[in-house]
Amino acid sequence: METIAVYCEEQVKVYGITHTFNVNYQQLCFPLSNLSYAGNFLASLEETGAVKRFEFITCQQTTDAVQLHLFTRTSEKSLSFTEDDAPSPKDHPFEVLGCGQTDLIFLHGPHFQDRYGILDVAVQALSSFDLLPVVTGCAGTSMYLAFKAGSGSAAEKVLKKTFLTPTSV
Amino acid sequence: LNIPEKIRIGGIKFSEELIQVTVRCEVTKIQLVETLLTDIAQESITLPFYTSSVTNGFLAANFCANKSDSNGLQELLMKSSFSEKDVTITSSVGMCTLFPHRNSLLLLGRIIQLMADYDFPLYSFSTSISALAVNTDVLRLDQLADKLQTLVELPENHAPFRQEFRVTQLDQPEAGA
Repeated sequence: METIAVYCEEQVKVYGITHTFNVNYQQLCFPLSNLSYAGNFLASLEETGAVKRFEFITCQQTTDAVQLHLFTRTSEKSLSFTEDDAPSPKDHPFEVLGCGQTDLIFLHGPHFQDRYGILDVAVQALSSFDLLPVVTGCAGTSMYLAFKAGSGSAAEKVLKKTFLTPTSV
Repeated sequence: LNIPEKIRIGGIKFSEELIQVTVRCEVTKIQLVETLLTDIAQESITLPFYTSSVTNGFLAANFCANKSDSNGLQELLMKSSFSEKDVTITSSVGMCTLFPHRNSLLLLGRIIQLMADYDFPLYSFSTSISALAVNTDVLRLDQLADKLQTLVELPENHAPFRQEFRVTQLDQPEAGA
C-alpha cells in the first residue's frame, strides 16, 4: 500500500534551531585494536563521576584507527586528556588530535533522515559566509554543527535566515 | 553474584541496507565536498547519516545512503574531482538506532565495548537529540540487538526493530499534477 502526501514549502521548515556556546571539544584517536578498552574507559568516566553527560558525540573510523569527537559542557572541568590540563583521567587510551572550545548549533526535524538536500541547504548557506563547521553530525531528525568558539552567533544567524523556524512564522 | 543493572531504553530500530561513503580532502578544497552534497541533493538521494570533521587541515566526511541509491552515488563520485585514494565505499552497512541515549557515556561506552568484544564492525556513529545511531554490518543487526539486550532493557511490546513502511520524498510535482 502506498500513501502520498503533497506538501510544498518555499523555505525548509525546522522545528527549532538552538545553541550551546563554549562547549568543550576533544578530538580523540585510538587504534582499532583498543576499541574495547576505549569503550570501557568512556563508561568509567561516568561511573567515576569524571563526566556526568555528553552534549554530542560522533565517531569515524579510518583504516586502523577510530576518531571520536566528544563535546561536553564546560562545567565538566575534570574532563581533559591533555597533559598540561590537570586533573586528567589516568591511563586513558587516547591520542589527543585537538581540543578547545566550540560553539554547538543544533537543528531538529522534521524528518531530515527521510528528506534529501537538507544538509546541502545548510552547507551552501554557511559556505557563502565562509563558515565551516569543524564537526558535523546528522542522524535521525537532528543536525549538529560545531564551529570554532566565537563563530557560533554568525552561523546561527545564517541558519535562522535559511530555515524557517517556529519563532519566525 | 554481581549482575550489572540493565539500562532502560525506549527502543531499538534498524535501517534498511545502506552503503557508507567516506571522502577526504584538504580543507582548502572544501568545495569538493560542497559540490558533491549539491549533486547528491539534485539526484534526490537521501542521506540518513552524515558526519564530517576537520583534522590537521584535512576534512573527512562519512555518509550513508540506501543501497538502492548506490549506483547513482557511485556515478556522482566518479564524475567528482576526488581522487580514487580519497574515497572509501563500504557496502552491506546497517544502522542500529537506540533511543534515548540519555547523554550517557556509561551507555555509549558499554555499547562500544560490547561491539568490540563480539567483533561487530563499528563503521561510524553519531548522536542526535535523543538517539544513538551506530553503523555496522547489516547482516549482523539481529545478532547485535540480541547482544545489546544484555545491556539494555526494552519496553514490553516493543515495536519490530525493522520499520514496516518506507518514507520517500518525491520530486516536486509539476503544476496541476
